[in-house]
Order: sequence, then structure tokens, then C-alpha cells
Amino acid sequence: MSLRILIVEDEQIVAADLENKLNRLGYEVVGIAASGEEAIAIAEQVRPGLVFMDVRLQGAMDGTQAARQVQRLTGSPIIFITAYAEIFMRDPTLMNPPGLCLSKPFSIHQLQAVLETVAGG
Amino acid sequence: MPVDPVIPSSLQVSQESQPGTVVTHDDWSPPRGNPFPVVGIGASAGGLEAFTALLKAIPADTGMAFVLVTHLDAQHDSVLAEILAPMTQIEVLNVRDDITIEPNKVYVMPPNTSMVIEGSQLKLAKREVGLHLPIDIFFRSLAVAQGSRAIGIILSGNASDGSLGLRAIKAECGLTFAQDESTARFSGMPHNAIATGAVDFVLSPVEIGKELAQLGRHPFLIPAEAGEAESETLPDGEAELKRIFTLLAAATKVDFSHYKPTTLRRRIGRRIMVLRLDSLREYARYVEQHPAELLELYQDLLISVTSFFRDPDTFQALSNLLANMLSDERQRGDAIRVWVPGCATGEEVYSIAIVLNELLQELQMTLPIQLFGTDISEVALERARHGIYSEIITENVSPERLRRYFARIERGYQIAKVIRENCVFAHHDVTRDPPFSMVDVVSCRNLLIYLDATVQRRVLPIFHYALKPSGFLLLGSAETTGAASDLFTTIDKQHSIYARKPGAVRIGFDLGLEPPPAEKHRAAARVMPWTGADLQRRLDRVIQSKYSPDAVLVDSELQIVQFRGHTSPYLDPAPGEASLNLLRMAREGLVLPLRRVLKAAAEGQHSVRERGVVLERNGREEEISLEVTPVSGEVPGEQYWLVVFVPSEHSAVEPTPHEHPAIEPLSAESHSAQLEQELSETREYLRNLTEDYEAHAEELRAANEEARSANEELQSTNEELSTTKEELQSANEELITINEELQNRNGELSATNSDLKNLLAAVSVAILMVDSDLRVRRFNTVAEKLLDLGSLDIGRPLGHLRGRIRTPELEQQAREVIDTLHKVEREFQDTEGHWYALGARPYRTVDDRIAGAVITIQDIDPLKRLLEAAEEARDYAEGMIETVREPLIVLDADLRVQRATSAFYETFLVSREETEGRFVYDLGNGQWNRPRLRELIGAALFRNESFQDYEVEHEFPHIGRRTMRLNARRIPLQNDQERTLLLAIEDVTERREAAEIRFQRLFETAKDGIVVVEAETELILDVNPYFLQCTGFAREDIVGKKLTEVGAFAGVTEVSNLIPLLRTCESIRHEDISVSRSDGGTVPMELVANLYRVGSQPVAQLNLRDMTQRKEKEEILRKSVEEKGVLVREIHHRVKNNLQVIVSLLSLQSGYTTDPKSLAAFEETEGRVRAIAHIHETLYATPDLAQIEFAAYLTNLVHELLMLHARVPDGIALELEAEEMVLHMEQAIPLGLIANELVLNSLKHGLSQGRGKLSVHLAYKRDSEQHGERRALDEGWAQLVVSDSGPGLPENVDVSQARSMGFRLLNLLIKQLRGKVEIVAGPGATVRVEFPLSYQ
Repeated sequence: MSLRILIVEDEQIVAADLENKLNRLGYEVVGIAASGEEAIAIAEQVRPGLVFMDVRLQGAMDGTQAARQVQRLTGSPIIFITAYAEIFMRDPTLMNPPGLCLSKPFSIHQLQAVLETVAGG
Repeated sequence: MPVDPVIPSSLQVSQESQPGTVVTHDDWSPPRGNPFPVVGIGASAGGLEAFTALLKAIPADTGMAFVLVTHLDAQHDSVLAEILAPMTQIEVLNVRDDITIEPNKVYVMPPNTSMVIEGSQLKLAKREVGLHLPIDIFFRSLAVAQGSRAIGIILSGNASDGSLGLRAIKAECGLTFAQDESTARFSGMPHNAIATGAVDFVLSPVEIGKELAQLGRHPFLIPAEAGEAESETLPDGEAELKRIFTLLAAATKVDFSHYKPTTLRRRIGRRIMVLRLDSLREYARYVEQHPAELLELYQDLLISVTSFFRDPDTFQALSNLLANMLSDERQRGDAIRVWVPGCATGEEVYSIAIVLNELLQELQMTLPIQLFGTDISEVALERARHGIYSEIITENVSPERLRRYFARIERGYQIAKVIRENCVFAHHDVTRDPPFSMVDVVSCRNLLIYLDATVQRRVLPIFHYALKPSGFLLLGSAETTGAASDLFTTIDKQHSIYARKPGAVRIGFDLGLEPPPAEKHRAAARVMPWTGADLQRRLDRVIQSKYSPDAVLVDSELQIVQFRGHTSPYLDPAPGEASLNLLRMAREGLVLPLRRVLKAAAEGQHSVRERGVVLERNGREEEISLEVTPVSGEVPGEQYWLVVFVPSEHSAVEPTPHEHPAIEPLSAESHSAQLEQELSETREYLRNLTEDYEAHAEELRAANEEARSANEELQSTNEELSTTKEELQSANEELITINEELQNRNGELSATNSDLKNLLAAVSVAILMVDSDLRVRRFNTVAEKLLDLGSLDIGRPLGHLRGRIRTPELEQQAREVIDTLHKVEREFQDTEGHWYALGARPYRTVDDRIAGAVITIQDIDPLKRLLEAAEEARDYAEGMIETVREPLIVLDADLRVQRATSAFYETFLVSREETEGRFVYDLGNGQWNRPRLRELIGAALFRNESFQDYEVEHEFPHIGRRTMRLNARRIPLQNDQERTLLLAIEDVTERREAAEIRFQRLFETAKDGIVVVEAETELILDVNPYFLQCTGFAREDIVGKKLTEVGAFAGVTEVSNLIPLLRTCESIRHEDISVSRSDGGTVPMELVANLYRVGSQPVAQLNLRDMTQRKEKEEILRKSVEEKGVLVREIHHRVKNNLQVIVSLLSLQSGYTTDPKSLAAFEETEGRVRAIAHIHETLYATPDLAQIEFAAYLTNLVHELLMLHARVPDGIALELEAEEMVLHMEQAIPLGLIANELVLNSLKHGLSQGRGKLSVHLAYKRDSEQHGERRALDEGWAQLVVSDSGPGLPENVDVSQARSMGFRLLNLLIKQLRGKVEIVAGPGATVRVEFPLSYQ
């Protein structure tokens, strides 16, 4: 069964590219949100099996805040996509809730590897 | 028989310790003492190691006791026992006095003692002062105590201690070992022990241990019944013994069969043990097969120990006797002759010689002395002839005798020439060879005890023969002349001295002993000359018995001396007391006629006859004649009478018819008358005839007597001659020895001579020797040149020499030396002004006679010149010192003023008298006597620590208060003992005052606050205006208070404990303290405080700098940097985000094309963008945001590319080596892209099958000189090499011309880096990129 995925990314081109790649890899993207609030609303609605979450978002919430709420709602695993990956590396407690992290820019192979970790693991 | 045994010398040991005990031995070396063997082990330097090895090799149950004797340091306790105990299973004990030894234990001798064994106890005594030979002492007591159950071992060590002890043990039939020299750390002791010939086994310590373990079980060593000390197992078997003796006699010409058998068996038993045989039978067989063993046995049988002045009492007695004899001999002037048979190694001979020498000196006589030492052991004789003895002789020879009669040589003493000259040593067997004769003393101590009674009976007459009538015989304490007590009378029973009894004893030199086979005809030849006389004698005897009349020979007392024929008809033993008196024995009727005839004969001194003596016999009367003839005895005045009984023709027997044959009767009367006439004529004729005959017979007898005595004389002469021959042989032998010695001496002399020649030629000093007439004797080549000498000048008087040097001067010096015997040394100049050192000393010959002078002339001109130069230099230096303006003084090691310059006197207005030679601290009013200065001067003098600029402010006499600055330096002199110190003094009073003013000005105008505090009291002394200005306080608020009381420092903890801290660390700095102002505000200040001395007073100075402005500036700067950092980070983030957008755009764009080429192009571009993004990401994490560590980046990049592009996961082997390399962003981005291109290219082309090897290397380029050294970032080059195991790049590919996007990009980027690219030849594809590290 293919995972149903929610993408939270304020940069629309990046979001579209990610969707494109996920589709190519055979996953179903069930929603794209540009802000935390939107993400929570869509997640409540579509109950995704996995969330790709940008750390910097439009609106008042940042990615980790949004992720905490989304996870409280759906319990789905979070993959952070960020240009700030080294912040998490320097202080892992900042990654709350804990999840996987994909550093921007990423290739399709990196993406695939992360997905395999979540789906296969 | 040099068996000149052990007992007496070793007895001395026991006699010393137990006075009054007389121990006699009639047989030597039975096993004695303890029933188990006692092993003495002697070791010295290097012995511990050997002994440890030995102990380890010994099992715990050998049944032996071990006693270790070592040379220990007298001053230290020994822990030897503690060291050894853990190394062996055997119990190790330290010896206490009177300790009883037991088997299977090791006893260690304590230091500073000498130890002996007595019975089963070890006795300790304090070590004697002087030569200490503990091993010899112990071994000798061991030999006495244990006999054949003694074992001696000599291990590593120096010198010769133990050698004699070992010999004593061997002489007592004990067993002896020495460590193999090659295994010994120090080989002196084993070497000397082996050299004595008394060592049975030469083995390594481990082998000795094994051998001991085996011997421990040998039946000859351990008595069959344990605990019975006296039982002894000896080899038996008569036949075997005989066989061995026969072999010995054949090999050595010495017949041992008359030696005491137990002794011999015991000695043979030892050999059996040594050879590890079991019985005499085996040994006999062994001897037959190994002839060499015979010699070993022979040496063993002859082994002996003797010593100087054995039994000193005996020597005293001998000395007394000799003294008497010498005073008798005084008139005669004959040589004193002494014979020592069995002299062994000569000690006895030399001892007697020394005694004689002393006596002669005492009596002030000069008599020739001859001593003959004879022995059958050539080995012993050889040692005797050399006369070299070890140091042990000091025990028996008094220091006085040592000094007079011995020469000290290395490791021992040699008998003095004066003694040696009188002694002759010769090979001689007393039982077989003809003896010496006309000897005054025969000393034959402890020889007879080895001989059985048969031989003793033969030997004693020989001594009797050899001695002069007045001579005497010296025997050993256990020996007597019992076998021939008729020949000698006892003079001194206690010391066994016997005098010769007068009287001749016939000694046949064929002494009735069956000679050994080889000797038979020699003995026979000796008898031969007697055969002619024998026949004569036998014939005489026959005639006498058959035809002589019956007769008796009486002496002048008429005692019958001899009977001849049948005298019973005339003589009859008279009843009563037995008597040989002729008149008492004569039968009745004969007494009167006998008296008559004897009287007549005595009166006329001729033969007298009486006829018609009637003798009644058997009832018949017979008529007989008596005839008495005087016979003179051998001694003049001695008179014998021969009494002959002649029966009358008519009455002797019944007249027989045929005796008077019937004669034809003529006329009876005339016939009768004629017959009577005839008869009377005939009778007369017969009487004459008889008388004639008797006269002849008498003559013959006398001649015979003469011949016999001549014969006797000849025999004696013959003996004398053969003795002389022996003597000549001995003398010859000695001459050969002396000749050899002389040859050696000659060799030594010529060596010395050539040494001398070389020495003379080698020295650069002219040497000239003159005799006592000042004639030139010898000179060397230097003298030749200097004095213009030639070989013709030898013998010329010194004064005649003509050379550069005025010889009269030499002559005078030489004369003076010879006259005064004082050596002369002086310097002089030759005619050209050249300097020489002349030395002259007396020439002493070896015997300390003055035979001229030795003159040396040394060219000292250069030295002289140097000296002059040195003197000049000194004058120059002194001149310089004098002209220096500063006062200078020089101190010696006692701190006294050696000298002071005139500047000193001028400065201090003192005189030379009150300065020089005085103690520096006493100068003036004690101005230099300051503790600190004393310390400094001491350090300068003795530790060579010069000091500078020490200031003394003082009220000087005459010149008032001044400040003086002192500098000191030790003057290096060659002789380190003479230390001198140069002290320069500078008056700095004026300079100090000027400095004071300058400081004050600085203090007033400084733009730092300055607070000066007295360290002792912590009170503030002064404060400068700037500080007051900064804080707003008045001067009165601060000066005179303590730091903590001052408002400005209220609550500043750094200041409150400042002074105590300063005492420990001199300078303190606080960057930021907060100082209060008078208006309540604070001023940030930097505090630097340090401590210094003003005079002797410590003062702290606090410098305070206002930090207000600086702090403000710093804050602004920090903030601006922080802001910039945030900004840059944000920019990096944005760049990354934008790059993600670009990647996404490219990715999305690629979704709209299906052309694989275009797709690949998109993908590559995406990769390149990501490579750039990675740089930014890495940069973002670095602190200065402009440089990255490239190795880590490269590692990430390569792994990612592999993951992205490898077709087969894990199919490619990666070899990645990257040196840590920090690069600036401007270099990192192009290099990152280059790496991206190259790796991608390899993965896509070279390794397109997904298998193979990829290697990436990043490294600094190194020069060969800078091998291994990493270069700094801005120098040199680095290189990146990427290679794969694929098919390789096409040939002749030119990177710069390649058209693909990848290569184009590569070229652009390399250009940007100002680097180079190179394709390296296959196999595989290798691209190397080099780039300079420097970055503008």
C-alpha cells in the first residue's frame, strides 16, 4: 500500500518538485500546505500516513510547532525538509517532535533513501 | 719420595689454636672427622654468580655439608645467606661460632672473620690484620679435619687464595675442583689453583654440581655404616695392586711396593673416584689401557705439602746445634754440607739455608755452605729450583726474614739469590741411588713414615754413611731411628735429632732389595770388581783349613781372638766363669811352657818355639812343640800373638811302621851316626825352610791385609766418585738452569737496551751521560745536534767539547752534581741568546753507586718567549685596569683585597696600606659588610655567578653619603683552586639624583593613575594627580591610609589582598576592576601591580588605567561582528533555499522532456547545484563562515555521488584518502565542482558496469626536502587525483580541447583556481588536478 503523504512547504516550486518526485516513486501526495495552520487543517482532513515538513513556513508557526500539532492529530511520522539541517545536528532537542531530516537541496536518491527508512522501517 | 706431607704444616694450625696438644700421625690422610663429606667452596669476585649456578645444580640430598668461604667486605654485614636461600632447596645458614655442621646444609662464612673447622664444629676468629687468605685457612683446616672426606672447590675470583688450601686437601686424599676459567668472570683464583696441579676436576659450576651429586653416592666417600666415622672403604685386591706397582715402576722407575699400603690404597681410591670407576680391578684395567693415567697416579702419590720453618721449635734446636758445630768448624774452614732427601718444593732446604745464613752472620764467619735438596718428583724439583712461593708463606716466615731473604714479586715471593746460590736440587732416589758423603746434616723429616720397615732399615745406614763423624740426622716428629738404633744416638728426643755413632758400616749399594728388572745388570755390575779377591780368599781358606797347624790368636791380654784348626787337644774350657783367657783354657802342663814361650816372644818380638813340651792326654804322654809369633794389629801398638800347637813327630801319634821304613843296615854304628848326622842336617834345613816359609807367609799376610785395606779405600773412593758424579750432574743441571736464566736475562737486557735507545731517540730533550771523570759516555741524537757531538767524542772530557753551548758551564754543573749528589736545574742562554733549561743529576748504578752524571738540556726558548709575551700581556692588562676610571678591587678566595687600583684610592680617599691584604668587609667603616652583598660575593666566587649593578647607599668615611653601584665577576684562572674576584665600584650618586627628578616628572605627568604603597605596612606612600583626577578624591583621602581603607577601592576584592599576593608573584594584572569615584560612580580600570625595592624596602606600585573608553569601543565592535555573523548565516540559508528552488525548477523542467540526453543534462546540472549548495551548508557550520575543511566535504560528496550513481550498490570499491585541508570558499566551490565532475565522469564512463575500483586522493604536494612536513595554507600546492579501474580515457585526449560540458566546466574551474590538469597514463583513467594553495 502506498503511503499517503502531506507536503508542507511554503516554496511552491520546491513543493511541486517534491510532489512530482514522490509520484514518480509511486507515492500518493494527498495535500500541499504552505503554512502551519493550513497543514493542520489539511492533516485533520486527509489523515496522511507521512508528512514532509519545511521548517521555515509562512504564517506565525514554524515547522516544528506545526509538526507537533499534526502529529498529535494524526500520529504520522514527520520528515523535516530544511536548509537548516545542521541546526538539528548541532542540537537534536530542537527537532521536536523527533523525526527524520532531509537537507535541502536533496536529490531523488536521498529522498528515496529517507522514504525507505520510514516505509520499510 | 717428596711425600713431604701435609700434616706438620697443617698441624701448626691446630697447635696454634690448642697449645699443648701434640698430635702425631704415623699414617696420613685417613678419612677423619665427620662421617659425611664436607665441601669447602672458595669464591671471590664473580663468585656469587658461579656459586648460585653450582647450588642450583646440587640436589637437596647429597649427604654433604657445604661451607662457602668468600672474600667479603669487612665493613659490611653480608646478606649472602638471604640471597642464596631462595635459590636452592638446601637450607642456607650463616655461620656462628661453634656451629655444628650437618649434611645437606649450606654454611656461609660471615664477613670480617677467619674460619676453621675442628671436628664437627666451625670456629670463627677475628680476621687478622694484613694479608687475608680465608680460603686457604679454611681449606687447610678442612684437610686436617676431614682427611679424604674433604672436598675443595675454587670458583671465580682474583689472586691466588685457595690454591694452597686445595693442594692441602689433595695431599690428604680429598677431592678438588676448580671452575673452568672460560666460565669464570674472574679467572685468577681458578687459574692459580689449576696451575698447582692439585685440581682433579676443571668444570663449569653446573657440571661441578652434577659431579658432586654423583660423588655423593660413591662408596669410597661414604662409609658403609653411617655414623661410624672411622670406618673406611678402601679398594682391595693384592694382585691388582701388584700389577699397578709393576706398571708404575716401569713407567717411572720408582718402586712403590715398599710404601705403606693403606696410604697407597687410599690414593688409588681417590683416582678411582675421580675416574668414576668402581673397583681396583677396573682401575688396573684402566691403567693398562691409559698409560697417561700412570703419570696422574704418580703425581698424586707424590703430592705433598710442606712449608717454611715447619715446627719452629725444631728449627730453634737445629739452629743451636748448628751454632755449636760452626764454632767447631771455625778452624777447619770446610764447607758446611746439608742434605735434604725428599725436599719436595724446597721449603725445607731454603729454611735451613736461611738458618745457616743467619748463624754465619751472627758469628761473623764466612764459610761455604752447600745444601743438597733431592727428590724423585721432577715437578716438585722444578718448583724448588725456581724458588717462587705464594703469599701464604708470610704465615710462617717472619717479616724480617721475608725482607732479607725474599724478593717481592707479583703474586708472591722469590727466594733471594744469596740463599738460592747455596742450594742444589737434584733428582735422587734415596732408596736406590748412591748417597752423598761427608755431609754435616741430613734433614729427612717425614719421609720415613711413608716407607715400610724394610726400606727404613736400608735407608738409615745410608744416612749413617753419608754423615761426617760429627754429623747429625734430623727426622720428623713421628719418626725414629728404631730400625737402626745401633747407628745413631738420640741428641734431642723431642725434636727427633740424632747424632751419628762412630764406626764404619758397610753399606752395599745393592741393598738387598730385589732391584726392579730394568736395574738388574746395573746392580750386578757393581759386584763385579770383587770376584778376583774372592777367589784368593777362598783359596786361602782351603789351605788354612787343610794344612795349617792348630793355633789360636790372642790379644795382648791373652784373650783368644781366633781359633784355628783343632785346638781341643790343647785347650779345654775351664770350669767357672766363662773365659777365653788362653792360660785359663790351656790344659794341664801347657800353662808353664806357654807362659815361657809368650814371654820369650814378647821380649824378642819374634817367633819363639819350644819343643818337647810334654802333654798328658788320654793317659798317655805326648810331646808337642809350642810356637808363638807376634802379630801386629791394624792400629799401631795393638799386639796379637799367634800360638801354634805342633804335635811332635815321635809322640804325636803312634809311630807307624811305614813312617820309619826299615833302612838297610850298613854298619850299625856308622850307619847310625851317618843317619843321625843326616837327620840333624835335614832337621836344620827343615827348620830353616820352615822359618823361611813362616817369614814369607807373614809377609804375604801383611800384603794381603794391605791389599784389603787399599781395596776398602778404593771402594770408598769409588763411592765418593759416584757421589761426586751425582753432584756434578746436579751442578750441571743447575748450570743449565742458570744458563737458561742468563739467556733470559740477556734477552731482557737487550730488550731494555733497545728500549733505552728508543727512549733516548724519542725524547726531545738532549741527554748526555758522563762518567765520574766527566768523560762523555752516552748521548742521544738531540744532544748530538745541540752539542755538535759525534761518535768520536765518546770518552772525551766534557770540557773539550765545542758547540753552541759553552761547555765549561756544563762541566762545572756536572762536577757539582757528582760532588754534592744534589741534582741541579737552571736556565741559561747560549752564545746566540737562545734559552735552555739545564738539568744535571747524579748517575746511580743499580747498586746505588755514583758513576757519573746525567745532563739534560731542553730547548725552552719558545717557552721563554711565551712567558715574556705573557708578562707583557699582564703588564698591559694591569695598565688598562689602572687607567679605568672606575675603582676596581681584586679579592682572593679568602675575600681579602689582593690589590686595588689607584682610582679606588682616589675615590675613597684611603691609602694602600689600609686596604691591601685586608678583609673586604673590614674596609673603611664596614661599608661592604652587608648580608646581601656577602651572599652575592659568595655566589660569584664559588658558583661563578657574577652580579651586576648592586647598589649600596652608605655614609662612607671621608666622602660622606654616596650611592655605589657594584659589579663583580670571577676572574677565570687556569688553576681552579685560586679563585679571584674582580669587583668594580661605580659612584652613581649624581646619576641617582638625576634619575629621581626624571621619575618625579613622569609620575606627575603620567596618563595612568599611580599609587605607591609601602609593602610592609600596606600604607599608601604617594598617589599621582591623574589618579585623583580620575576618581575625584583628594590627595589627603588616599595618602597615609591602607589600600582597603581608601574609598576608591572599597569593595574591590582584587585590591584588598593585593599586597600579600605580590610577595609571592611579583607582578599582578587585573584587566577589569571597578574603582569607585568620589561622586558615587565607578570607573572601569585595568590594574597592573608590581613589587620592587627602594634600598632595602619593598614597595608596591599600582598602575591603574582608565578603561571606560576602551570598553565602549569593544562593545560596539563585538555587536557589529555578531550582527554580521547572523547576516551571513541568513544569506547562506537563503542561498541554499534558492538553490533548492533552482534544483526543483530543473527537476520539474526535466519532467517535460523525454530526450535522454537532455534528461542527463538536467540531472548533471542538478548535481552541480547541489555540490555548490553543500559548500554553503558546510560553510554555514564553520565559525568564521568563510573557510571550510575540505576533506570532510569531499568525503560527503563522494559518498553521495556513489549512492546516486552507482548502478550496483556496493559494487564499487572506494579508496578515499584526503588530508585535512582548510580552504577558503572561493577555492572550495570550484574545487568541489571539479571533484563532482571527475567522480561523476568515472562513475558514468569508467565504472559504467557498476563494478571496479574508484580512488580519490587529496593531498598536499611535498618537496623531497620537506618530506612529511605539512605546509602552511598559503605556500605550495595541493593535488586532487581521481582514478578508476575502468577502460581508461581515449588516447591523446586533450582536456583543454574537449568539448563536453563536463570538460569545459573542468577547464573553466581549473583556470579559476589557477591550477593545472593532467591525464595520467593507464591502466584505468586517472586525472590529476594541481592547484596552488595561496589565495588572494
